[in-house]
Amino acid sequence: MNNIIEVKNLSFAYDSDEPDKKALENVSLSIREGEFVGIVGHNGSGKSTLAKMFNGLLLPTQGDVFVMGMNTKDEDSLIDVRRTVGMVFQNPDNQMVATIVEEDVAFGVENLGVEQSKIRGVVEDALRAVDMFEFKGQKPHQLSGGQKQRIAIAGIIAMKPKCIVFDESTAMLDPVGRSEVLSQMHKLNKEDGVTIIFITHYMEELIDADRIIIMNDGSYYKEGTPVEIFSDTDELKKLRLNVPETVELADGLRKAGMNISHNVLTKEDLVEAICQLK
Amino acid sequence: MSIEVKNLSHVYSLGTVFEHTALKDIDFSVGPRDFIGIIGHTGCGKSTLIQHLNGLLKPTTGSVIINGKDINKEMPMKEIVKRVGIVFQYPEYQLFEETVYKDVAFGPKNIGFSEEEIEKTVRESIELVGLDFDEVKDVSPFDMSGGQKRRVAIAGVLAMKPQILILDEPASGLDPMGRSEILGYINKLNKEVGICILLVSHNMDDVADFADKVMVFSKGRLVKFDTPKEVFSDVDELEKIGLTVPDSKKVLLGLKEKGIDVDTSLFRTRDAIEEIIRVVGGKK
Repeated sequence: MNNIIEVKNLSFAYDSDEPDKKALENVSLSIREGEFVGIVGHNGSGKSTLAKMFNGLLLPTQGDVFVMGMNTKDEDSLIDVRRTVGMVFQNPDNQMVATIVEEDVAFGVENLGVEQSKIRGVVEDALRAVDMFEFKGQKPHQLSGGQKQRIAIAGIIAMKPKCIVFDESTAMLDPVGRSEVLSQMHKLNKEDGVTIIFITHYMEELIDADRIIIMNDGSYYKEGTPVEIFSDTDELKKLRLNVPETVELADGLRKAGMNISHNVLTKEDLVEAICQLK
Repeated sequence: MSIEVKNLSHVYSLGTVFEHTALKDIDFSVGPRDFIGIIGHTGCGKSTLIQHLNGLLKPTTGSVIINGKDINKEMPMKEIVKRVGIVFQYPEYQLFEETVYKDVAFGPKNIGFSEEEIEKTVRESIELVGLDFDEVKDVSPFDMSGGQKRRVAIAGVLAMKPQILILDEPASGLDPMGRSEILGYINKLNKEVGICILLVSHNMDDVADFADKVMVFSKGRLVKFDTPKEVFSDVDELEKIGLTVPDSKKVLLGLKEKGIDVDTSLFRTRDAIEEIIRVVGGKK
């Protein structure tokens, strides 16, 4: 599969007066087209800085970031880079720009210069994709957090990016809002082949990811499948991370001598595994 | 120190086309040293409620009574803020002083503590949130990590010596270790210092781990106020109002459904581990 994003020897310092205070140091990694990748790491590990590199919101101090082969440093391709990679941030309230839902969703598309006659259809399709079509005439502030975040997602998918980066987009939502947004991400990934990069502190949200990348102190630390990453609780704790609650439960049972496979990540699989021991 | 809320309703923009009832007929009382979890979907009225508890919002009807006194009638604002501290979401955005010491000292100075009292309370508060006073007092809060900033902000509220501390999502945005550190310190404030805690959280596990009692809000009403065991006993009802139960409990419920006779009233991970071992057996 082709790489949609390639990061090569990337270093970055926020303050050019203090070039040694690096937020990112010599990071190299790639994201394949169609993948669902989780990025985790402690506060200050560089995750969000890295995310902003993926669509040229920040540019490397050293090294390069390529999006579909385009260097994000190349000003001429910046618009194409941003069309390819969309971003959804943490606080839905900060991402609302219009007073009516459909206008909010239309904002990005209009800016891309899509013909006026086509915009309505594009916006309506995007709202349908996030199951928010019936809310198109509402005011954003009347919506719940999960609904607002889905509107923010609609605004991004209306621009039809190949890749969407979600930077802690579930952090401020209640449990139902979180699961709405998470299932939306998986739907985009499975049904439309959109590449998803999901930065989160909630490990249980990454159980179904294809791959998890761990950042630590501004550097790439390691990567693996969820099963590989969540198999070493002690190591994760050293990195200020943890495992999903189900994995912690499975771990506790394993330590007491129950024979439960490390492949067990979900509640359903754990129930199944315990039943087989009975 | 106790809080009683009697028949409280709050209507925003009363009498206008934007009129919106945020809280309706809220009644409860909280005793000293309680650790209360407050849960509810976004927009359920939690934040409106906590702003009533230290006089930031006035009830449209009803009253808030602290230690027998109606705070909106018989208590000047200064007296209220000495008793009830609120730590809002992302409190580190409110840090503003050049040094940690000055920032933490701002509140007690404002409510008229003497220089001596200020120094003592600043030191104590910084240490209560697990920071080293001598190490951090002259540091700029803006040079600290997210988790440390959050703790400095909490220390700033603690320095006013509140007997009731209300925290709105204090762990949100922190890495998993930062979450458990902050919650650990909050628990210590309750258990060791005896401060009454009201913890607003979207995270059912945090509430399950620490709260003695849980308030459930939905659409502006207090729909349940009971022990975590009772509150988490009705999964369907919680999910209907945008909430859920801890995953460990879901595993126990899944086992029960498959005919394994586990106690499904448990909800903490460590209790679930013990229960499964008790019923299914360890060494197999």
